[in-house]
Amino acid sequence: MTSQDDRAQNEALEAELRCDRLADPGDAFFADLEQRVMRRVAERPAPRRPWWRPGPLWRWVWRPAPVAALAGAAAVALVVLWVGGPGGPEEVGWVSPPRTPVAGKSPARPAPKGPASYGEAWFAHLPPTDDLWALEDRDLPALLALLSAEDFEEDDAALSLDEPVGEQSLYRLSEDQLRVLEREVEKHQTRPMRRPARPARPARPRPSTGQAG
Amino acid sequence: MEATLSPVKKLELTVARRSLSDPDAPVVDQVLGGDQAAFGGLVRRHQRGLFFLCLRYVRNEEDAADLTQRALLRSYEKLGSFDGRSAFRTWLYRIAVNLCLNAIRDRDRRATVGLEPQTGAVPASQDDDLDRCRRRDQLREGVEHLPPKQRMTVILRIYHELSFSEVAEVMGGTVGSAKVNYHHAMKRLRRLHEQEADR
Repeated sequence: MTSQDDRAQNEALEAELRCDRLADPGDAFFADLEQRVMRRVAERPAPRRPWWRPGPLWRWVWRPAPVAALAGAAAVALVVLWVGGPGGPEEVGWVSPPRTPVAGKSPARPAPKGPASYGEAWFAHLPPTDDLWALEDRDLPALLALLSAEDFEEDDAALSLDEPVGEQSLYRLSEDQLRVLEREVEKHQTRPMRRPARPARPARPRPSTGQAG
Repeated sequence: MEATLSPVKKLELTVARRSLSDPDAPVVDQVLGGDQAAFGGLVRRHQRGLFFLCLRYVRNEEDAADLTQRALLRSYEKLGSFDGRSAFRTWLYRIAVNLCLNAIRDRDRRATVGLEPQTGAVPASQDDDLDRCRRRDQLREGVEHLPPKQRMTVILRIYHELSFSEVAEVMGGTVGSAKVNYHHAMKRLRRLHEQEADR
């Protein structure tokens, strides 16, 4: 069957379907229906344009109302100020400060040029301060030696700098002490440390040659 | 000229054109402005079409009148949300079609009511032979047994002479899907017609 035959058959069918008309109930029926509808309409509140679509129909479709536009602009401005402001969101306390310093916000740190001194070399290989618990035992005595005695509370006076320090000793440190420890490590990581002066060796007595006298 | 316009401008142009071609636009505007009596004009203009649309679905004058009334009241209540992107008639028909589909679903759920082929039908004239009358009844029954979307497409397209784009708007689909539904419906009805002719 060709598409022309198809179309002709469709048209014949459409014509036949169109002939099937329904009986018109008459004007009185529709007048009654209209009256019933209008009576119910009168009982209902009149429809209103929504507040965000003022103005006549067909003209407000793509134009937002001034109130909505103002509210939107104010919201955007607030967000921009909050995010891009001098303090940023962490100043309000809603967002925790970033762990890594943001460029331009923290004091400029000199670019590492390689270890210049013994101290720098030693601190350069230290792990990040957050990983203090991962420190190896051999590093701890040197770290603890940086702390002054006032940083420790009286209860922790038992922690002597002379005793061998291991993991057990580290567990005995309070939160405050750990913070001090971190601060000290950071301070020394940013500042070059002076090489501690070596204690002078006692002069060896020279063996007498027997020439004198 | 129109090709250089931005999509928003194009849409504005479409809405403006539609508002010019839609005779209901000023009346709707009047009603939204607070003139309740102006709604009477819309009722008078569309109640007949709505009634016959509902009657094609429910096959009962009382039910059809009830559905027409409900559709008109619903349109009055929701007139504030009518944004003018489609013609008022299309929007109104969409409300009516949804109400009809709900009514049919409820009726089917309650019980399978026998069809009333004689209700609302034009009585056969003197020169209408029996065979033609029988064929018409069978076609009507065929339309009634079509799947809901195909049936809706045929009713809107044939009895209400809506264009395919209007049918798509009423049904909430695309023009392509309206055409496909219509094609399948016609195919089924044609098969039915051929079977009847073979007998």
